[in-house]
Amino acid sequence: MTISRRNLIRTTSGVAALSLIGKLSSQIDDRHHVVVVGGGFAGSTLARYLSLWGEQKFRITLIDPSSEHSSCVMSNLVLTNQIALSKLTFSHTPLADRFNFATRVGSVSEIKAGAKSVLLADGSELSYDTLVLATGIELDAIDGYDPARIPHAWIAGDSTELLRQQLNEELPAGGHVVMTIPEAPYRCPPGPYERACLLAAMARQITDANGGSGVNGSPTVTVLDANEDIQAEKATFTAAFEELYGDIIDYRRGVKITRIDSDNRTAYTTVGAFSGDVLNVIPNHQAPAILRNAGLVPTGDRWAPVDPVTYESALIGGIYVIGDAQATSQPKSAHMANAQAKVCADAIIRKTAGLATHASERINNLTTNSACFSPVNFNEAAWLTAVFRYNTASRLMELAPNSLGASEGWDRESYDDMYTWASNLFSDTFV
Amino acid sequence: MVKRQRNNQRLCVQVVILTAIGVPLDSLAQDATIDRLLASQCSQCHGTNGYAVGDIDSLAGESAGEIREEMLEMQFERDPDDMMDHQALGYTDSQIRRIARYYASLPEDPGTRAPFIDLTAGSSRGDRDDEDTGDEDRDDDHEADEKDEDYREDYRYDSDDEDEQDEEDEEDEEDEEDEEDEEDEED
Repeated sequence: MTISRRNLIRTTSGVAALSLIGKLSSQIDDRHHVVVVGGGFAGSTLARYLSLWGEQKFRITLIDPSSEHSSCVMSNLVLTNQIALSKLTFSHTPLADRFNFATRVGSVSEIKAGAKSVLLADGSELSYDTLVLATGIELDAIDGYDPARIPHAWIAGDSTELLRQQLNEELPAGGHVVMTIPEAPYRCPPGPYERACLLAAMARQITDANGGSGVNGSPTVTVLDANEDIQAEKATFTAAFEELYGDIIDYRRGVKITRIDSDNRTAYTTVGAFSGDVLNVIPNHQAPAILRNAGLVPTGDRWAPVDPVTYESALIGGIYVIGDAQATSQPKSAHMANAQAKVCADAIIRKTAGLATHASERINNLTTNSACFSPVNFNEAAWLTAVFRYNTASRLMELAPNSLGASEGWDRESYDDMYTWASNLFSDTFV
Repeated sequence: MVKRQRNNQRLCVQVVILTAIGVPLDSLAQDATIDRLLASQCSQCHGTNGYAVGDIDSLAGESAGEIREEMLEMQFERDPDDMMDHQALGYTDSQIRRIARYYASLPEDPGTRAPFIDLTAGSSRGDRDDEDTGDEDRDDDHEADEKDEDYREDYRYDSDDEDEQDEEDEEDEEDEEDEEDEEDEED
């Protein structure tokens, strides 16, 4: 039986007809279905640009455990009370309305690559033509570590707010903060060093406001770095640690965490135990279990290998991985996640249209770039930037010669530029 | 149809002339989606399709010659101390031309545009020395909460304008050649 819309309207009453048409429309939407898992910088940009460039040829569904996303970018300034977390939190709904895609609040529990579907924790199943995984990271479990009491503040949200509260309410004059830095590669290479600077700035401010160092002595921030050296902007952060916080920051290299005492805020490490009034533990990261269980991460590895021309998994066709969970050597950052999502959206559009994704004109012009600002105190920032190009011989994204640059020190102008950069990055991603 | 034939003939003539004077054929490449993808890598900082928020250059509607000239200036900066001095070094001249061509094809005035996030407005930002941030002006200009269903039209790269764009490109090429000549003379 065929029912034309015109006949339906003629033969049924108004409201009922409209509701029926709505149902029929969704049933007959046989456009290529792209399911995007994760609504952070990577996933939101992917959905946004696939809609913008896709000429309405795609049905897009964005799945995320939350109806909103809190940005890690700028979230260290939540700790210093300079930005409210709510200003960094973006609902998926307005973006989806503007760009005509569907959203679904839920957790994906299993990827059925053979059947081209995902299972959700509520038992429902959603089929896809193309699957894009933009899940971000999973933090490793550590013996004794309870993230509900010991904040990581490395996936923005409640944990950021918990660390802010502990700093503001539980750090006394001359107090002691202990923080840990995960093994590379981790999310946001300069981030932990920026965090160390701002913890020190807070500890000093709190001490000054509560009678000065005469009360309990000078405050201290002990930084336990799992790496052998500073991982980004080494000159800047070496100078900042010495010149701005020489009396506060105690930076220690190559320290591995073995156990956390969450009751007593103590980190047990390869070089002894460290207790703080506030303990900020940032565990090592890897691609989330959903990717590992689906066979997207080789045994013994931590990240999902992809072809950077498309971001299609190197292991399972039809599944794309963008953002922090993928294994290319590009830095794990929000700006890069946005950059990769655009390359991936373009590749999906080409592939669906039957056009070559590896055409020489395309791969010879494949670039991504990174730019970021790091505040080192309440009103000055440093910056870091780089461009990555596809190398057709190595088949890798590689640093473009001479494009890597960092500020000489820090200044107020860069601090102001940081807000402009973040505003544009957020606008190009979440609205 | 007649117009298309004429365009094809014109293109052939261009190819012959430009090849003869040493302009790489790459600069005549026609896949506009590659221009678009290259250009989209600017928009993390310069806004979607080059319509920026706050105190940073909007790129949409700039002339191709102007964008390329600025990028080349940054590439040749002897003491690169700006983020863009380093960014510019990441692109070949051919890529810069394509990025410039894309932004030059967009209207300078975006018309009705998407809402955006302006973090610079009304946030607590350390100890500010200068109270005049221009935030109020920005609010007035952009009406952050405005929602319009049609704004995506402004963002779309319109391939129907190719004829028009060919002409613009031709003019740009001429402009650029003139500039190069001038540069040569200066050298």
